Amino acid sequence: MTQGLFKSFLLHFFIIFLFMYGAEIFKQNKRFEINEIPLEIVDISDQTINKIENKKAVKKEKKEKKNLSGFQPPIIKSKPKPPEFKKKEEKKKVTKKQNDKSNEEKQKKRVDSILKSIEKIKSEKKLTKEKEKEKEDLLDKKEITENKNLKSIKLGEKLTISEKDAIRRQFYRCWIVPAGAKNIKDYKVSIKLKLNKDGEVINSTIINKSKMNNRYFRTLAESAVRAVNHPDCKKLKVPSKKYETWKETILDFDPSVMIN
Amino acid sequence: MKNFFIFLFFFPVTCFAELRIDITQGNMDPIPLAILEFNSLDSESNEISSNINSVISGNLQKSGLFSILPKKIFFDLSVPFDKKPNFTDWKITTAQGLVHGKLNIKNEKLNIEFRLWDVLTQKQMVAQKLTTEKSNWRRIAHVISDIIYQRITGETGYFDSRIVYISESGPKSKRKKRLAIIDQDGANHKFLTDGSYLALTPRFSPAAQEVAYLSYNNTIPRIFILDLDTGNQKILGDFPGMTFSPRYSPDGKKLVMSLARNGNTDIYEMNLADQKIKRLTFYDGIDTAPSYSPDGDFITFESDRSGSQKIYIMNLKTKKIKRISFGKGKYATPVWSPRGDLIAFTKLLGGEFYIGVMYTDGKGERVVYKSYLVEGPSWSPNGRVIAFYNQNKLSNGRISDPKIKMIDLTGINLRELVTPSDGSDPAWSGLLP
Repeated sequence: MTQGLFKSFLLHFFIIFLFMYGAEIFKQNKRFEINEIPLEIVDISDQTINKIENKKAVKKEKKEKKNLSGFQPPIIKSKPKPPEFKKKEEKKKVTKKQNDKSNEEKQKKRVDSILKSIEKIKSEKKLTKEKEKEKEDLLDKKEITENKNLKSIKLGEKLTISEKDAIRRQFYRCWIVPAGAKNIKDYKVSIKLKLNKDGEVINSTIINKSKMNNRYFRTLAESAVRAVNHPDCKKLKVPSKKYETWKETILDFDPSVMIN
Repeated sequence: MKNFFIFLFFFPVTCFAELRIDITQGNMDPIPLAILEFNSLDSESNEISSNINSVISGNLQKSGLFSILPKKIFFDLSVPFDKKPNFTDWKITTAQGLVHGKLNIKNEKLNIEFRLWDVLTQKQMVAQKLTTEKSNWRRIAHVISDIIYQRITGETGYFDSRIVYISESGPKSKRKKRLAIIDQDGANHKFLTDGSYLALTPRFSPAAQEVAYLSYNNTIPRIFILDLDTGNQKILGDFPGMTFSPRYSPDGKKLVMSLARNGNTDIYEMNLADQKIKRLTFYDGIDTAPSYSPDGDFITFESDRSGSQKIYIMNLKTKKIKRISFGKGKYATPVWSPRGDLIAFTKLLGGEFYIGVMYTDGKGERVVYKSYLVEGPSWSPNGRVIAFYNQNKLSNGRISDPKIKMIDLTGINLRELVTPSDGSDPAWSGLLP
């Protein structure tokens, strides 16, 4: 009886031990489980990011300015006009002289004190203005340095989608597609452009020239060459700051989208 | 070392990456062309030069692919033949192409030299010298038009070609149907039969010297072959049943047609040398309207074997048949393009007729024209333009008289071929020899 109990106890203990050991393995496996997260890598131009960052920076600056201006409401919002103020004081003086000559001395003292206080305010104003100027100068200097940095970033920077679309729109007017020509949708012509800093086409060459023996390809190629020599497309609408990016541009004329 | 290879792999990409933009949208405007009258010395040459200029301008303008600029906007009305034009002046006129030349008459022979310039690239595209009889000025104008068309579009022209058609006149109860021929631009109209018997479905031989057509003389249908040079006609055998729509093979040695025998219409091929007939289709229903592919290896035809009229193609070597039209409606009269890439057809759907085109595998079906009734599509020799005849439903409920029309395969530039009377069943010739 006792032996049977002992055996049963041992067997149960062994099973429980195995389960716990196994459970530990499962736990460890769970630790090394890799959850795959699908990622799509999208090529986005830095320009748009810079624009957003610039906008954010501008907003921040505005907020800071607002915060600064909150400390000096009378200085910026309601500037007292000294000449008018003086005239009023003079008028007051005249009336006061006429009405109560005995209080002249008191009045003088009062006026002096007012003038002094005005002078004080003026001096304070001057100080704050100077401070403001200093701050503005600093901000300007910052902006200049930031712009300089931006310019250096922009060298070799990609064109934004909207900038590329502007070029595409330009060529819509200039490119007469030889639609209806046999198998024209199967051909694609690449033209390399060399552009000057104004965006004008200096030189254009067909890249895939080897196919020029095919008359349909030649027709498409010639239509593309006419497009880049068209007066409306001789000067491309490109951002001058990104000259390094577009000084050599390849245009792929592909009629397949239009034909299908 | 490993890093060096990685550097080599990425170096060209990072350092020499160029801006690349895909241009996928353009316009389909006609190309602006400036065509000057060819320089000539005497009044007779001047007149011919003016006539040639108007024919070339008319041809290219009517093609829909070119717009001929008016002379009033030109800075120069003549350019010396051996000098380069002043391209800056021509660019102002918006011209993209410039045609100029010289013409003289010597011993009743017309000598023409002309040049085509690309104004935008300032390069000569073509220069040719042509000589012909003085009376042939119209044909030489068509030939020059074809040269210009081919050089700019890359496709052979179609201006030096003719159209044979059925001229219809008289009341509908007693309609007179005569065979007639006309230049593609509407000039040189000529009747080929006198109207004493009914003529139908004319077809040009590939050499454009003969016309095969169906005639009902004393209610017996017969296929006639008319020699255009001599005017001689011959009957191509008597067939026991009804005969429909004969069409030449690309080499001109065979005719394909449909014959109705014992209530069953099938497609047959006839060898013109020995007039032996070979049956091509074996089906209990109706197989008709056959047309050869340009290489002669296939035919396309219409058949109701699937329960409704659809288009099929047959490999003449293997005799395998394949259905290619699967859209709604009844498809009929398929015609293989001389270019080989498309099949034109008519389609009846929802009470309206359509002229359409599809690729030879049945893909890319698109409507080119629709109307109350459109029938008999026929390709221009370059496979670019489709001629057909059309009747419209008028506001008073009546049906208009049939007129021959032409349209670019892209579905633009619809125009009417002006004929002396009503016209139907047009058949376009190849380029004239």
